[in-house]
Amino acid sequence: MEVITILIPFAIALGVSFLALFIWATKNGQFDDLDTPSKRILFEEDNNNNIKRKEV
Amino acid sequence: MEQSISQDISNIYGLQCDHCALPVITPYTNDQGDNFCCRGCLTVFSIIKNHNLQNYYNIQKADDTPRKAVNRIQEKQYSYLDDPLFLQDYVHYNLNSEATLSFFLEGVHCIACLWLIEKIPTFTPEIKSVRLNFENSVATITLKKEFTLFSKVASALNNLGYPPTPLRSDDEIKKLQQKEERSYLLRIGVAAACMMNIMLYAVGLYAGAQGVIGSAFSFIALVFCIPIVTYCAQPFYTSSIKAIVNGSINIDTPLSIAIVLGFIVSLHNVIIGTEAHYFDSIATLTFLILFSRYLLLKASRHNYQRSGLNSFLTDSSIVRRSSENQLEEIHPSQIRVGDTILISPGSSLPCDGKIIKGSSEISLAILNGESKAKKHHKGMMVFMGTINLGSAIEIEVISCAEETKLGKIYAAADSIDKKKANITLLTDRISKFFVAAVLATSALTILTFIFLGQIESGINRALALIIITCPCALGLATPLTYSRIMNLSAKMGALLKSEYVLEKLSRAKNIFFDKTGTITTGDYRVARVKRIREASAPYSIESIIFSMEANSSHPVALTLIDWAKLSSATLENIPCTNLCENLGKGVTASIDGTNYEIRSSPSDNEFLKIILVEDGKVITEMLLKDTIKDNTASLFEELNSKNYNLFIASGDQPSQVREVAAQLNLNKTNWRSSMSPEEKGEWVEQYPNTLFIGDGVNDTLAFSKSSTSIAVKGSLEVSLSSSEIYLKGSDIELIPHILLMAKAGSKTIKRNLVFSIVYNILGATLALFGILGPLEAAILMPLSSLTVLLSTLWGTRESLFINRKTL
Repeated sequence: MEVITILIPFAIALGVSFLALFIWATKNGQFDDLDTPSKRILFEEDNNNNIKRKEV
Repeated sequence: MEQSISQDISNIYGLQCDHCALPVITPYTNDQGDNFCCRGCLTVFSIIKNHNLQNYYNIQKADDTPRKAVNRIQEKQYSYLDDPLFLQDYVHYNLNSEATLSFFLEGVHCIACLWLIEKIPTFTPEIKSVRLNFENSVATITLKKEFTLFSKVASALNNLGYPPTPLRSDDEIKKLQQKEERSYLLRIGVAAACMMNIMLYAVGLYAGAQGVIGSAFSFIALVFCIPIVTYCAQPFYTSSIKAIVNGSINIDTPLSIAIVLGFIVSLHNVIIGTEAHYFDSIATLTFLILFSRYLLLKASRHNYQRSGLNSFLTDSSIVRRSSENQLEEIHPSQIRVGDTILISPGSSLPCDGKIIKGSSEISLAILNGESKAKKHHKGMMVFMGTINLGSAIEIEVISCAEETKLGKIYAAADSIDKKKANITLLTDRISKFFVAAVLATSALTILTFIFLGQIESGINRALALIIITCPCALGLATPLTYSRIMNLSAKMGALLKSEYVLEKLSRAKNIFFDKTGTITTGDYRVARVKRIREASAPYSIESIIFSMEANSSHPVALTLIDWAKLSSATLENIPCTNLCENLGKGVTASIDGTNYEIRSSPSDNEFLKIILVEDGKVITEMLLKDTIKDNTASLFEELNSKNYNLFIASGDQPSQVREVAAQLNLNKTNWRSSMSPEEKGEWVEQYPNTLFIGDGVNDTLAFSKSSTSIAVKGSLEVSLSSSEIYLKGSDIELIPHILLMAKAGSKTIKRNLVFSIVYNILGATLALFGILGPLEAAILMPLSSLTVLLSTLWGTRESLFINRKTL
């Protein structure tokens, strides 16, 4: 059970660092628009398009 | 009638617009034989093709969002966007000192739009990047370093069929909204992180961690709970303190008490060394309620809100005659008293003024509901918001913005709105009663136990009572129900301003309709045709009218073209010589050596009379009229069968209103005509639980006097600034569905109330008798939340409404 004395601080540090990352991202405006990026990801890059056409 | 013919025809041809995929009634065809429903679609199609962006149509096919026809495009220069004075307030420079400007775009409706708009830099070399926020239709455009002017960008957007409206860079409201949303998100994130960490240790404690490990776990849970109590739960404290200052209680009062007291008791227990604590419950509660409120906030903010009058101005640029007699394009906000401005046919007036050149028919429908346009001559006053249907005129600006007649109507409606207290939600009223009961019971418990001499046990039980009866079910389920219903109705095409609207809608009993533009289409259709004789040229009357008007953009010409296409299947495009459009007077041309003229002629009834003249002799008379929408009759029937009281309040002439009322089987007592905006307001006020459905501006006063209101016309911002519900696409057929959804929502909320009250009474009784310990409470609390969550999702399930109609 002694391992818990290492694991707990480690778990807490991990949790806090992710929280800090989240706070930074929010303040940076990463979550301002939750709708558009999910759609934007569907568009193929034009370059890929051209390559595909050439292959055909 | 007209509409049914048009539908038949589109069924016969089965044509689909090659741009927007809507059925084509009156085809516009290009050289390649593609068909379009309007000139706008044709223009957009050719632009897309010229720039090799046909992928747009592939994306569009993959996306099942309903499409809307693109508005007819008007060529615009947007030269005012290059004016340094103007740019000062609107352009923002980023860190690389590149100019950025945000535009609100009209007509963004599907993923393909997003793709197309973000592709603009590929064919507009000045632009570095375009980012569109799909949710609120705001495009942020960054120019390349050496460029600073935005007029080309704006015309590129306009030509694609997305008329842009520049947004100020220092928009305070927008910034505040953003800040509020971010802080909500931060609170949710912090609450979620702390909650999950607390859970880790709470599970260990429930599993039986004891001794040093047990107290270490309790201590860690305590530390993680501090940010929740001090930071995340802050909005609850603020709101309940506000309520208490106002001498009242709201749903946040018991929430705050439960959180703060729960924390203090748990803290006390940790210090004295017992493991009984509520940290996990507090954290879960805070997180769930914050999250459900965030969803509600999001649901009520998917529209871009601005002050009504300004947005009414901004959708078009204005041509001004400068002191050097030069014509210049300006932004409507730059109009000053004393300016001379040009009003082109078909556009709405941006200010009040006096005609100084020309004369024209002007539709006053927006101000008084009169469907027939009136002739205005030099020297007469014209008003903001009215529409110029005749020829181009020049006016001298007498008043603008808030000083105009329209502005004053807005201001009056606004002041009533502010005075009208928002109704208290059902949950608020119940929670008030509930909180009072809980507090009284706890006080009584403490007193009883003091009397019995067991102070500590008394305090423990009272606290357990407060924490267990904490109305998380109410606080969680109600906003969730509202946001579900609001999202569903937005999907169908109705945007709701706030959750209060839903409750008012579910109580609505008396429904008032405006006539012009609400029940009727609001623009001219050919109602009757009197053929005196055939033309001497070997062509049909329809072909002659079609060919002469084909290139005109005048509203009446468009009506005539539609009519010609509908009434004749074999239209010919006849070459016309000497084709001349005399603005305001009509069109003249000669065909096969015979002179023809189409012009309006004075009429003594409610119709607008258009005549076709051949060599000085009238050969055809056409009577144009505002006609009833073809789905209105079935709508009235449906609402009647559901026991709503229906009324028509119109500013139009009695004869017109009588005819419409007769078509809709309305009692004589249920319609009134020739009403001023004030009279409409007074009439509505005489009834309880009213819903007023109108077309945006001349009904503003009635809107604010009725319990709730729906605007069916005009742009989103104008409508939402005056009414509480906006119908996309002016489809009044949606009204029964919205009413149904509001009812379903209120039913769900009531059911959740019953659930949580029953649960609370049970829990409270058990707590009072000391049967319920912290472990049982910790299990029961999320269980009750889960019950109401499931009940909410069940009560607002999509299939309830889907078999009705989805767009």
